[in-house]
Amino acid sequence: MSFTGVRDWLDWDLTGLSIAAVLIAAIAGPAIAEQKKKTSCISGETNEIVTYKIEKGENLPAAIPKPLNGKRGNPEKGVEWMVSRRQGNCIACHEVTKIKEKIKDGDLDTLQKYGFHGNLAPTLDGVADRYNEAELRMIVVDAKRAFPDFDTSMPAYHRTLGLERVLGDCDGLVILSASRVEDIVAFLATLKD
Amino acid sequence: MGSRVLRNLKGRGLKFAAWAGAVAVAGLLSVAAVAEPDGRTEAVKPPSPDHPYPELWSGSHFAAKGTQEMQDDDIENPAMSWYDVGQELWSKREGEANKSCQDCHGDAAKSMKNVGATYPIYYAPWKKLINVENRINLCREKFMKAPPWKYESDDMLGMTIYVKNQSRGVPVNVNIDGPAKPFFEKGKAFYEQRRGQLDFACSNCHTKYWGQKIRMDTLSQGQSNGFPTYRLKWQKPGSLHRRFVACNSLVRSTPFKPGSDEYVDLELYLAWRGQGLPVETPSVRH
Repeated sequence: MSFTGVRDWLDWDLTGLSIAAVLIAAIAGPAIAEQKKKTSCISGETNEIVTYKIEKGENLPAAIPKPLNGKRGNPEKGVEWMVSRRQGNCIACHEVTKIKEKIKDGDLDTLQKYGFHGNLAPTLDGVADRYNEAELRMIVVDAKRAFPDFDTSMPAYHRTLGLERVLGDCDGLVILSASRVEDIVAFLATLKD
Repeated sequence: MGSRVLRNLKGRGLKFAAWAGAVAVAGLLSVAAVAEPDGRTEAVKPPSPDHPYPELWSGSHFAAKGTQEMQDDDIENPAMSWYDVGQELWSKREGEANKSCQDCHGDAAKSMKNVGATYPIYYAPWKKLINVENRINLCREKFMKAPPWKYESDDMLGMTIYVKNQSRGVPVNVNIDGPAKPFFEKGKAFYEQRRGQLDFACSNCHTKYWGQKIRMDTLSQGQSNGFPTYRLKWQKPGSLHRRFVACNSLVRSTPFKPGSDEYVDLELYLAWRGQGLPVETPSVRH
């Protein structure tokens, strides 16, 4: 049994799933075991990649006009993925005034959750004035593709190829699922000055 | 445990006396002394114009005042308990050869004076670089005929801290030329290689954005002159390679093994990025 295999079994124990579930996994074989493996990287849901079509944008050389999962996202959920340290963690680098406004005066919980914005990347205030929705989607999916002339540090949130030495449990997975990308894009589209 | 505490108290008492004496001497000397930049309150100049940083800042520059004070005070600095471990082991005879470090190297204050500032070095018999930890185990196996220590063990951390502490205040001065050159280049390539699901190279944070905020933290230059460092988050000292493992894992990349060639090469490159910063071992970080 490989190292990740052992980890999978440990994870089964830790998540408190019943022995029956483990038995089902054993009987059902690789399909379920594979699915379990893919959850342990992000601690939530499987983040499979979807296919998408890149076209030329108005303000950027690349854009993705159609929603990744064919559906419009939920901007409120988008905020949650943007502040989550295990998901987008967008505010680690970008300041967003609209998210800071969610901090309640003197409340540590909302400060911890919505506060402490980094400042090493551009603010996202007014980002929807600078880029259209198709371009915003491209930036979240793969910023290096959106800004080919600038050596951006921003991770590609929905790309699996061309990555070096990815941690076993994360290998082949995207950081943000298609629906979460859409939630974030829906929120970004509201950021107009 | 009891003897450890007793030893610490004894060690600290002696250290306090030495410290008080040093303060008195420093007071006398301070009139004539020219303050060297310490990389904390004043930047150190980089060794060459093509260096990646225009000015060098130790990690302690970015640390909170309380953390700096904890580091500076040998009685408060929690890593000094490991220094005591190293000091005791220095003269302990071990292995089939029944030898101690002291039997060959004598007084560490003299023989180890610059070691912490000049390692990793190229070691001809192995045709590769070795760092202080590698050197310690080399001595244990070859000359003491004793079993090697595990990389992150208290004994290894203690001896590494004890040895590197002998260079405290000495500017880092590693040799990157001659046979060390290709290994230096490998370390540089490692530093600049994007890796992991987040696709970050070391340089993506530490070259471009030092001094800026990433969520709650201020990005430092990622300098190595204080290692092994007592990390408050770890509640114990950790090796530089433990820090590498943590960094690599943070960007969701498969880390290398502590003590591996990849990390030792990186260690040399990193030391050069801080060439001229004073050794601070053992430093304290949050």
